[in-house]
Amino acid sequence: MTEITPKEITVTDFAVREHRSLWMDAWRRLLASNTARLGMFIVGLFVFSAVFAHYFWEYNPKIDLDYSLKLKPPTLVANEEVPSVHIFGTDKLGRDIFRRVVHGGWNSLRVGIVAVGISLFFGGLIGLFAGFYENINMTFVERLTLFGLTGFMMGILSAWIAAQPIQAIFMTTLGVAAAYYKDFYPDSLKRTAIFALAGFLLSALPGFFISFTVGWVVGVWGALTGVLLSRPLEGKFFSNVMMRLMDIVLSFPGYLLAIAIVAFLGPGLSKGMIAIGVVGIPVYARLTRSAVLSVIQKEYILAAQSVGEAHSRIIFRHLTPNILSPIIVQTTMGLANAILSAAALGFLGLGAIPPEPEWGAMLGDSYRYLTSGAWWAVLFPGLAIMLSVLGFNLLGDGLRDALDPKLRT
Amino acid sequence: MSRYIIRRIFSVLPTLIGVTFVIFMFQRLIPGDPAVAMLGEHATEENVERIREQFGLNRPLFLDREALVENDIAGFFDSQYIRYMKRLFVLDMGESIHRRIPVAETLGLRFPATIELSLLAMFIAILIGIPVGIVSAAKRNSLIDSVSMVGSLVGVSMPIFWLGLMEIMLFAVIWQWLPAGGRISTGVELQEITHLYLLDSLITGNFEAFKDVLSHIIMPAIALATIPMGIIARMTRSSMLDVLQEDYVRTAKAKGLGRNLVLFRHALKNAALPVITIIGLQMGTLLAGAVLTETIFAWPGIGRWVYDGILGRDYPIVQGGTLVIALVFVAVNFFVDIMYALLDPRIRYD
Amino acid sequence: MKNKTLYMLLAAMMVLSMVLAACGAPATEAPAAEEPAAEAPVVEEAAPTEAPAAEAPAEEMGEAIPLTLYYMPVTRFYYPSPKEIAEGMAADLAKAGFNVQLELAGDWPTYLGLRREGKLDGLYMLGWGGDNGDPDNFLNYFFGFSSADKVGDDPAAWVKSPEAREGWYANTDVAYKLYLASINPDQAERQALYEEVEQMLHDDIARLWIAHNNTPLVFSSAVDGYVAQPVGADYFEGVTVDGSDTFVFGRGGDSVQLDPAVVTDGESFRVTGQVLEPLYQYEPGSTKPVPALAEECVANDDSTEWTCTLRQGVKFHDGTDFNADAVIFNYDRWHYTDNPYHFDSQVFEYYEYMWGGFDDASIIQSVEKIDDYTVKFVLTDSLAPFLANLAMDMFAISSPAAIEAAGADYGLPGNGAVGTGPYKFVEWVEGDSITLEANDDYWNGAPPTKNLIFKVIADDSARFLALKAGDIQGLEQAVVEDLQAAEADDALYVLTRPALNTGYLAFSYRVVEFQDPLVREAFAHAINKQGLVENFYGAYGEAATNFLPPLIWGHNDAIEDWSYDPELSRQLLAEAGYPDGLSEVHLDPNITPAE
Repeated sequence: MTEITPKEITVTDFAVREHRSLWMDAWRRLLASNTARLGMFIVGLFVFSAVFAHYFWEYNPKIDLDYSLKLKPPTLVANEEVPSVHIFGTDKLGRDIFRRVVHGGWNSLRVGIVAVGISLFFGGLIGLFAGFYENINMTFVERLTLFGLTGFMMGILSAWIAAQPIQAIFMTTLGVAAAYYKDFYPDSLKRTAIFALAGFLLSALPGFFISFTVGWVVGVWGALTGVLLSRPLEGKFFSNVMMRLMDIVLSFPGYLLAIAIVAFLGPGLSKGMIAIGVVGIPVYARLTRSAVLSVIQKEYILAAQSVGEAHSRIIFRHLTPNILSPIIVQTTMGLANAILSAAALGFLGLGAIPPEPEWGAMLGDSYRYLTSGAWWAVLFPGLAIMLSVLGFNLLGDGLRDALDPKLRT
Repeated sequence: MSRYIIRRIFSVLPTLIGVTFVIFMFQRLIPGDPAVAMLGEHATEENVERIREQFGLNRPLFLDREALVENDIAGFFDSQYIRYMKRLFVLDMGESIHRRIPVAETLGLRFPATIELSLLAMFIAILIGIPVGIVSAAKRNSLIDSVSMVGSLVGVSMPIFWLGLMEIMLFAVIWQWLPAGGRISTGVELQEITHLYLLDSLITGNFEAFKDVLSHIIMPAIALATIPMGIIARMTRSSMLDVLQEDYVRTAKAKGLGRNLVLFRHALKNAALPVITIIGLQMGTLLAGAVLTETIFAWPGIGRWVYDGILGRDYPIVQGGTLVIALVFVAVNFFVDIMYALLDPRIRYD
Repeated sequence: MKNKTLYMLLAAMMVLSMVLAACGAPATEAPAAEEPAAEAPVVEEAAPTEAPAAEAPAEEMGEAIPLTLYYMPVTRFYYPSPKEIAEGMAADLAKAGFNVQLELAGDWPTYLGLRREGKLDGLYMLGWGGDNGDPDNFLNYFFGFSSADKVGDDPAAWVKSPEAREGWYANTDVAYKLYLASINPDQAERQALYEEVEQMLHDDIARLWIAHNNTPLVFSSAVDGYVAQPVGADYFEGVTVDGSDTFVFGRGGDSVQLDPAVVTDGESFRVTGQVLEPLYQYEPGSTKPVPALAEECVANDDSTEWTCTLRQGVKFHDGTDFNADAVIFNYDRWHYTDNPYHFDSQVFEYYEYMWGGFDDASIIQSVEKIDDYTVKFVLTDSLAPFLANLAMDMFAISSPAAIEAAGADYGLPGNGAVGTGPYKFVEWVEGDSITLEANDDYWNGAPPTKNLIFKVIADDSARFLALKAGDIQGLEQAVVEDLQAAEADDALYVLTRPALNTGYLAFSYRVVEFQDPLVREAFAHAINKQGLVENFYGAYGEAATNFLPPLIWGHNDAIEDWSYDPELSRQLLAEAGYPDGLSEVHLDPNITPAE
């Protein structure tokens, strides 16, 4: 511990100190960081150029072609061989790479925003609910919904096997009944047996009309459903199921899963957005859940609960604002990741529909000409990818430092 | 402790079943008929039908409800998925549709290539990432710190396929120092023991082969290493910073212990845990990144193989390859969890 | 504090731009106006070429879809970089008023499947590589039996075939002439018929023929003696490599199987052509069938019976004798679906396609043994291209003993193939390499190079780099720019395989607008073929005016190509009723795709 010199003691005049919200504080801290400023600059440049090029620099990729200019190296002044200026050179069809890089930014930006939007929306909701109900007792209506839905989901299989929609309705009813008669022989074998029997009968009886075996198979499934419904299911059950699902998606390498989804949906920018968005869902779900878990025991939540505020109000009014910082950070970095993944898909030929400019696709098309020395056709689109991703990462990094005072120094 | 491990194993099981389910389903959802894919341009309807029959592609996906209506319970369960699971149980992943080679056999050939590449990449990432992180933490807020942290972010932001292309341009096209792709030159003899060529050539003392293999693997390994390198450097730094603020470190410093001694003896040891975790998790990311790296460097691993399988509708290849990658993912996560529990007494086991 | 305001402004604009970016409608990806498909009865006969087109109001024309150009998902020799070529075509078309949307319809088999079913509902890129150098192999497949079903001898009574109803080009007059040519043994008369057909296809603009490409092969200057074949597998048997007894050849893809009877791809035939031999083969460097395992085949007067004398003293690589029994074993195996070696898992596609079918459907009625070294082919009808068919790689003779031993696994990587050729199969590492070894007992003399390795390097430029680095000594297919470099390089040289292929742009005749010859003519004038060829094929390609490449007899030299003239194209389009260009087309409800 060093001695504090008088210079380091700041005197604050509380009377004149302006009002500072937490967010303003964070903003100030963000501005104070060199790296964050660099990130903001890059992102700003990238967003500006993309958006303004799109709205104010007209470009029709469909007619952009001039064979006489194919694969020309970058030129800064027009000369005899290359009568026009191409600061990034031209590609195989004689298209100006600078122009395509700038316009390609528009596509990357859209992919990033939409993909992250998808991940954030679904992942965030799943994480919020999973984290919340894991720790909070469900209300009667919520329990009714949980049991009803569980019954319905299980019942769908029976309904499909027997081709009788009635089975799904019966199982839903059984679920609702289980929730309603929560205190009917709780925690005893009797309850389990009775529900199993009810499940069996409700499923099997209509099934027997189809055929003997159908009845039995559906009945066994119905009995299993009954056993499940006889348990005192709580929010923890929902949370477990959801997180297990997320684990499964997370067990796949991201790129492979995205490729498979695009192979299923067909190529195109919008399909790429969906693929990347879906792959990102578990990341946000896990993050949101753990953020919720870190604040759920805080006094203000307990207080809101004890005065009987509605759960939805607690979730969206008290919980959400207090877990925003990690999500904002993750969203910023998620944009970086989405741009990177989109470029990878484009590189593999699964991105934007040609001749629409897209960085990854530009790389994928042009690298065949590397051996003959056309480095510019590969260098510049790649730099654009790297810089924009770096920008978002720097910004996200700065945001993390700014928003999380614990890490602050 | 053992109870915790058993519980973890049980919680992994549903994930595994889910993984097989998703892998199976994805392949069937993708449009395109593998029988048509196999037969090509002049295929007739009967031939397509026969191939479907032979590979069981004409069976229902999960359950055959029509068989059940006929009271045929065995037929009810005789679906593509159940058949797939049954075979999987005896480690039979089927044969590739086009060349009818057992998938397990090809996996045995190709998986070591991917593992070798990933391991070397991880080795490079650790070798550079950890020292950079330590130096950054020690010289915090200095120029070195800023440069290395921005540098590591550049690493994290790297489109590895682009980096790979740039490497090829420089080292293979312009300077012609290294081969542009492949794993070993034709004609170089190598006795395979572990199927990891670097290791094999060292074990057998075959330095000519070692040089050749190294010249092939170095570019893809560096490309693949950039992202984990950045992540490891950042994690090491932040973890070290946390530890350096702990009381015992201050005590050690106050006692007058040497700076390096404090840094390496006291701080590093305790900062290692999160770093080890992130290294484990990055192993999975490396396998995913392999699809791109293997494409560019014509590396004969599973990433490229599975990608081709997806495009060629070769179900067994996609299923087998993805399954193995997913299994490695799950296993790595599992071991990281267990190790965490072993190393960190603060984790509750129950 | 000035700084602060500045940053606030920056941030505000950033957020604004992001919102704009997220909401703004994409300029070029506007969703197509989709109307529900009209349920229309399938009409047995649709007459694409005669249907009245543009005048019909849109409601009656059926479903409206964007004008689409489907591009191939893979590189083929006739389209060296399909995506970029498609972009070039789209730009040409845009300048003439056609606003086409490019679309990738899936991987290669999917693409072919969609085309077969008539679901590529617009323009699509495709091509054809000749199998045996006979014009019948080009024209009849597309415009003959697949376009019309033969009913009696009067072409007026012929019915358009199901493929035509799915939107392929159909013209019964053309089909009739092709039928006449296929049964006529007189070559001069056949040639006249094919030239006539080419003229008809040109006049009616059945398709737009884009280019023929001479496939480039690049070799290290140490290599000599390679013979590139216009049809059939290349000859590797004369290859010598200075200072080495190994020749490594780089190629883009792996073989599928090594039993030539059950595969259809060139990469399989490239290898089987070295291991196995048919009764006839193509003369090195030409498309003329010359004797190989047969010493000669003689036809009777109406060419319905062919008697072949076989070469004596030839042994298979497994030591068994080649004789009449071996020939009959192979032909019977392919011919009869109930033959024990006609395995269920195998598809003898080319046999079916070249010989008209299996069992009773086959034009080969029987193959009879006259003596140990003489066999007789009895045909149900005369077949003009009999010898050309006989020489095809898929009809190479395998050792019966090897097939008996390996069963359905014959030709798979574990077994390889056993024939009489100049090289013997040694090893196949899937996806990587196939190794062959010289057959010292080859009847035509042992090949000078001991080891022959086929190495897979998928990427064109990586393959070229491998050649420059000396890892391989020869390769097929390279980027035009690399070829120019190779020609300038003393250590390398370029050979070309004579063009026996045609890349084309096809119309789906399900599209009502394409049924109008004026619109098709507008397309013909819109595409800058010469520009495409110069830019993407370089010196190796040539613009196509016929479906048949110039190398094949029957090519009509008199046909003059449509000029490249975007202005004229616009005029024609206006004349056809589209003064504002064409960006949306309609599907004919009377032509429905296959299920």
